[in-house]
Amino acid sequence: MSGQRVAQAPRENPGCAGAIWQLLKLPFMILRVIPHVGGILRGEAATDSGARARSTGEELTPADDRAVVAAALAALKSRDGGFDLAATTRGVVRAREVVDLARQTGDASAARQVMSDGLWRVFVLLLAERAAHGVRRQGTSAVLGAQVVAATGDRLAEQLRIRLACRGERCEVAGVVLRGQYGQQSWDEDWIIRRSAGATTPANGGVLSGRCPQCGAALRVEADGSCTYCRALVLAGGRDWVVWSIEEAPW
Amino acid sequence: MVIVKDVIGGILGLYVLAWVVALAFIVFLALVLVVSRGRSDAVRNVFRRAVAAGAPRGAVHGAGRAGSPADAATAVRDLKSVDPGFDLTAFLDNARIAVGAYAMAHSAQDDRLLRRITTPGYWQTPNGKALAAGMGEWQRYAGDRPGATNRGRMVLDISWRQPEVRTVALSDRELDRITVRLALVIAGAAGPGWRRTDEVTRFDWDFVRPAGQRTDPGAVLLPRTCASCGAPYRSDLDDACHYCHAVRPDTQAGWRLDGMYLVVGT
Repeated sequence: MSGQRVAQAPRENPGCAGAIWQLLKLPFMILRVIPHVGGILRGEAATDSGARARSTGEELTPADDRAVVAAALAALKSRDGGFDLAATTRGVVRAREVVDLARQTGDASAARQVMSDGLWRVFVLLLAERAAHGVRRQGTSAVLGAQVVAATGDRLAEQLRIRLACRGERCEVAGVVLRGQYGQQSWDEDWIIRRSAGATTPANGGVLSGRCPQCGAALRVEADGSCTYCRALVLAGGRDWVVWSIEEAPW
Repeated sequence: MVIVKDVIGGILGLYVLAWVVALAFIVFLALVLVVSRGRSDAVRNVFRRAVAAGAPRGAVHGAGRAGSPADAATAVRDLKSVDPGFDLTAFLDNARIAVGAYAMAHSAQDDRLLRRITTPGYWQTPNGKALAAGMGEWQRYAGDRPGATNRGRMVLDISWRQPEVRTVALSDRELDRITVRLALVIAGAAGPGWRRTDEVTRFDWDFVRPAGQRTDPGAVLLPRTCASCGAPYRSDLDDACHYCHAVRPDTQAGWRLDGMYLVVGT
């Protein structure tokens, strides 16, 4: 289909004559949509929009029972003696700073060293799309507290949902404010980190501490997700925690 | 002269009829919006059930469909026993790329990445055809201008919620198939005035690879430089090298998107 784009659509007639021509064509433009009405209805039925989307789909997942979380963390620690929750949480806060900087500057490469491969690729698409429209993120914020609100693990993968209590200013503008607002606000963000069940905490701290989990060197990641020094693919989650998902309540 | 008058009258009559049908269609869509986006969940659920009942085969999944999570976990372990390099975390990470690619195609009319990571069969499914038709319509009016400005909207955020493997079928019609259910969240802004928009859509995604294929744990998902001439690609959306025009491969660890179903349920 990209090849089809080479054929440029004819430019519309300017001025009053162009407007009249558009008006004359309007019913036929509408009629062209009728064959696609089935897809429109299915999309509408499967999609929550507006306030319903914000209230049911985008809100942060409720925290698990604290006892359940504590038991899961204890099980994790028993399997991986090097696991240090405080250090992991500090690593997530550091990762947030890295990602925030990437958002502010519009340079996705800065976030490459903490995000999982897939998350980073979507992040790249998103920043490119935002840059094309001149969307800028403004404001700075700090993390006031962090709490593990969900911990899951099975024979395939382990995952922690860490809720960060943030305070500061955040808004996105492109001529007008698109979301957020100026002034100090408080909000929560969920940062989800994940690793394969077979992974254990590297002695040097690993990805979230800025170290390659394979060779221990200061982490410098190529765009393909490999360590500059040992060429190991370090951000697939197979060796160490990686930032797997970032969830924000509507703002 | 009478014939000319009749012809002109006939053309005008047909034109008026086109307006009548178009306006009736607009009214119908407005009613759908009122029913679907109104406050009453009961009314919306009736609408959902009606749409699901009338949907063509292969377009919609019910919310409760598919096997149990325990069955899926067992099946993934079975897959891992025959393919030790398979890693669920890496697989789901690849699935997320498909989500981003779909969101870009759906919201920004840019399907270059989606084309690279789908099978030809994807575009023959009802939802694949609907997406292609929608993009074709926009390109008909917008021309060679991929990007959300084509429809007066911009994408602010793309994320997913609660991805889970629903079914795993090995060697099904010579394919290994994994179905992932997730909610796609797109936050954006639409003109005029850049009003905030939010969409949360639930999907089942089918990923396939040839049966018997094994995961190469060292394979890079997406090459950043051209294997033919070594030049860097400019963007993730590039289909080919800008210098030597060699086609850019996208391995996705062997898994490709083969089908997508809207999840309609109450």
